Amino acid sequence: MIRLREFPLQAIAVLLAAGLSSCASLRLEPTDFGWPVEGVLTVSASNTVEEPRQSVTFSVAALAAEEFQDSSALKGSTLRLLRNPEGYFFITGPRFEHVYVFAPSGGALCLEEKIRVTPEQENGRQGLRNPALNQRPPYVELLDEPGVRLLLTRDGIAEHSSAKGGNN
Amino acid sequence: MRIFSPIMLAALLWCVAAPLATAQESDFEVKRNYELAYTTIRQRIDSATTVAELDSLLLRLNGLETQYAVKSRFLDKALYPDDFAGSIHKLRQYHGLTYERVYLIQTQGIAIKDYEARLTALEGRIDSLTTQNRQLLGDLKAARQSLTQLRERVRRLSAAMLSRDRLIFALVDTIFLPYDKDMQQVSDVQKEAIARKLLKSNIVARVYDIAADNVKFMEATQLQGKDFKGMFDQVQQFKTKWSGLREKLNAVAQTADAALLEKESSAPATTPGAAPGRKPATGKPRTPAAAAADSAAAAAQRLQLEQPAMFVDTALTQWEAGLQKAFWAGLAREFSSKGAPLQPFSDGAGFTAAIQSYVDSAKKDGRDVSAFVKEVWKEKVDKEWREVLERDEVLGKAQYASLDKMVSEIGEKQFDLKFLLYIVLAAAAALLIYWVFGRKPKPAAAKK
Repeated sequence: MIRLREFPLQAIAVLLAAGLSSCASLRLEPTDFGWPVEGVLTVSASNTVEEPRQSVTFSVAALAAEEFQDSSALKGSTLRLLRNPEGYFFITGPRFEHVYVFAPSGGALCLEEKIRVTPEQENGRQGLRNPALNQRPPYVELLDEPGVRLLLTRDGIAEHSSAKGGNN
Repeated sequence: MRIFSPIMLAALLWCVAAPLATAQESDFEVKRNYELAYTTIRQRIDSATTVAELDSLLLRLNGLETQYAVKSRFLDKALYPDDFAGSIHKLRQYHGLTYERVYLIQTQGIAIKDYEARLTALEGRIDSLTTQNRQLLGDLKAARQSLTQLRERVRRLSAAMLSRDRLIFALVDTIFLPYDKDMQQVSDVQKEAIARKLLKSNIVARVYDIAADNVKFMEATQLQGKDFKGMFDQVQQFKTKWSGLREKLNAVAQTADAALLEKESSAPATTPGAAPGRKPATGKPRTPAAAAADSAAAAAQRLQLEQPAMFVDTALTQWEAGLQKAFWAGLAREFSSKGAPLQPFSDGAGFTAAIQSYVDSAKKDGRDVSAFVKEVWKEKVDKEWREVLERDEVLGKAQYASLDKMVSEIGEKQFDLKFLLYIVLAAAAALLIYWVFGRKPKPAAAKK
């Protein structure tokens, strides 16, 4: 007999098991979600960006508010967007101090990680100048002037190194 | 100097290589730079007019391939659905086709300047013939002259129109000849050049003039049976030539740069009633009202240039209809002038019905139709009108043969009856003579 005090925990455990088993019953792997090349997207007047090649459109108002404390700060500017093989979206842009890692979930992009890629400055903002994202499995490479090269994963910075190309 | 040169070379190499080694390469930039270089080379190929230019572009193409070969795996993905090798192959193919065409133009003795001179000469001769034709046509309408003089004027006008038509198609050939392989292979730039020449030479208007002047000619003259063969031949030749030209014109008109059309159509407006696409001979200063009218006319002109075939097709249809109408009216006049009462007709079916009706009534009445058969059908229709009547677009050989047989038979029937009557009369006369003079008296012994 199940005691009332224990019921919620047991119910949650059963639901989790059911959910996990339904996912585990059919898995298509390996799956590569990676884009070969980043999208360089201009933020529209309605605060959205569109990647026509990959048919992805989303609002960046919340992203602007998070990075610049101003939801309209990104209008007219460009963003760099790249999806890694695991399916996470890496987003950054000029003046950004972070690279944002999002996961798609139920018609939204949910923040997985906010990676600081520039040193914190006490006086003023020291953002990226002209960033670019490259696909370098298993990493995403962040390049910026002058000579900045970081290898990123969904969890953070994997490696700092000097800049060298290698996209062949 | 010999020591210094290697040092300088090394320094130069370092200057070039060092930035490359340390340069940060964004994949996006790589793709964009490749596409930019690719598009630039393609555009240069498209506008190239000499083999030397194309040779230089081939070197650039080879350089592009070499430069980006190390990034081919990336470009294969980034250029999807195309790939690196495929895109280079396409560019090489395009270069090859263009090279063949430019080489052909340069090496087969086709000197563009010569053609330009020929074009100018042809335009001059055509304009002169057009003026002459208009004058003759005006004279023809106003003339109160003897039949012989009128016939002579018609003959001269007809010959002049034919000469001008030939010259116009020679002009068209001259424009297309340097590119006349396959319009699909002609580049957009060259199509624009052709369009410019077509506009400059008023080709659409001139071709339209051929058909329109012939319509006027049909209306102004009464031709005789033997005149129609040439007229039908002329319209048939025009149809064949126009059919070939129409496809090319449409291809050129579709590709022609809108700016070019805008520029051309902003020229002073055409005179009222002028042919489509015609440019005026003189440009006088224009008032604002005239400018507005010109603007509207220019818009109409642009539309006409974009669809040149439609207008010439309409004129051609009118020409054919006018020729048919004139032909059947002329044939009806032939019968009525000889006092042959045929029921009215205006086409092949009507003519067949009229002859059938005439033959039927002649058989029924048993009247003498020998004059009709001999003087009208055999002497006039069969000798002067048959060639045209036998054309498929008029009556057709089989139908004419059927009518000819029908008419000939009633002629033969009349002949047979007369012949029989003569024989009977001759036999009766012979019998009478025999009875009167040939009978011997009975011998006297018999009386006894």
